[in-house]
Amino acid sequence: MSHHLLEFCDVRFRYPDGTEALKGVSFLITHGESVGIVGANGAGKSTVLLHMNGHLLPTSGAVNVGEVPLRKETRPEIRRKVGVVFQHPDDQLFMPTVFDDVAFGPLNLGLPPDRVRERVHEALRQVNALALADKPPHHLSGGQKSAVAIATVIAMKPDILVMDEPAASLDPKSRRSVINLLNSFAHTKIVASHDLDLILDVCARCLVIREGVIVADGPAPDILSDATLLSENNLELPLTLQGRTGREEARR
Amino acid sequence: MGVFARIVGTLFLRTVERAERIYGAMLARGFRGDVPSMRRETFRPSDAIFVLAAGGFFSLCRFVPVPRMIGHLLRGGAG
Repeated sequence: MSHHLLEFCDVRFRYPDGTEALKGVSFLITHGESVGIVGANGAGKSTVLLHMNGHLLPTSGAVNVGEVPLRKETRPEIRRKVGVVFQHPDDQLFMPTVFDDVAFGPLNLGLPPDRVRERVHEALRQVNALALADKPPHHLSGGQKSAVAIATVIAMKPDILVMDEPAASLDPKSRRSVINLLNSFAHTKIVASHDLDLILDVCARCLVIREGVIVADGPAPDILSDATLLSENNLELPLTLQGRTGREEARR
Repeated sequence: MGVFARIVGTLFLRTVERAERIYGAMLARGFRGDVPSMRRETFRPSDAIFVLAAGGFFSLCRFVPVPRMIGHLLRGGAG
């Protein structure tokens, strides 16, 4: 199914203040793949994700979603296909109640009210937040906000799900339910995170990005067990791969 | 005073940046300029009653000096 392809061709991006965030990023993600993107702070992970739904447009190079090239005028179409959960839930919840917030996307897709209600219930149930439907989003706890932010995007049923640090600030149980949720999502998914255990659990493939270029691309278990590569990128072995001795070494 | 101005300036910038991020999130969820509503806007009997009542009151005011009558009433017919 070629329409779920996501392709970056030599994407370069410079922020208005002159910072060159991406210096030629190329990769191809095919239908049904689960890809983790890891790297140090400021390496360019979030910038890559912001290109996936046209929040940023490349300074040079091309992004293709399916057969559609990312341009200013194709953004609405691309945003129907690619759902992005951004980093801070506070920046994503803006409606008076959780229900309205989750309904915002499906209503924008032009669905009839009955279908919208169905989608909202399904999405909230998937993130275990059905009980919060009538609450105002700004009064929720950090974890509840994250869960609702995920629900707002999955309610739109995107072909490609993109998440930036989905489990940051979640307690272990909520984190586990986000992992289960991601694993139950059959379509293409792309996750940027410092939580390497989460990447290991969710993703089959892993990209490592450093100073705006991809420095490694391969099966997640191989990349995430390469201690030298990880430490070059300000990362550590995932906790599940650290033996007691490994942990001692990491501390030194 | 200088410090105060800088605090206000920074607060303003932070507000703008936050607003831009929220706007980005709205666009990502298909926002095209109007906030959709689940409620169907239909003309109900209560709307008809409202239109009739308001229209009736305004035409009454047009043809009968209602404010003056109220004044009379309040001042006990002295004015």
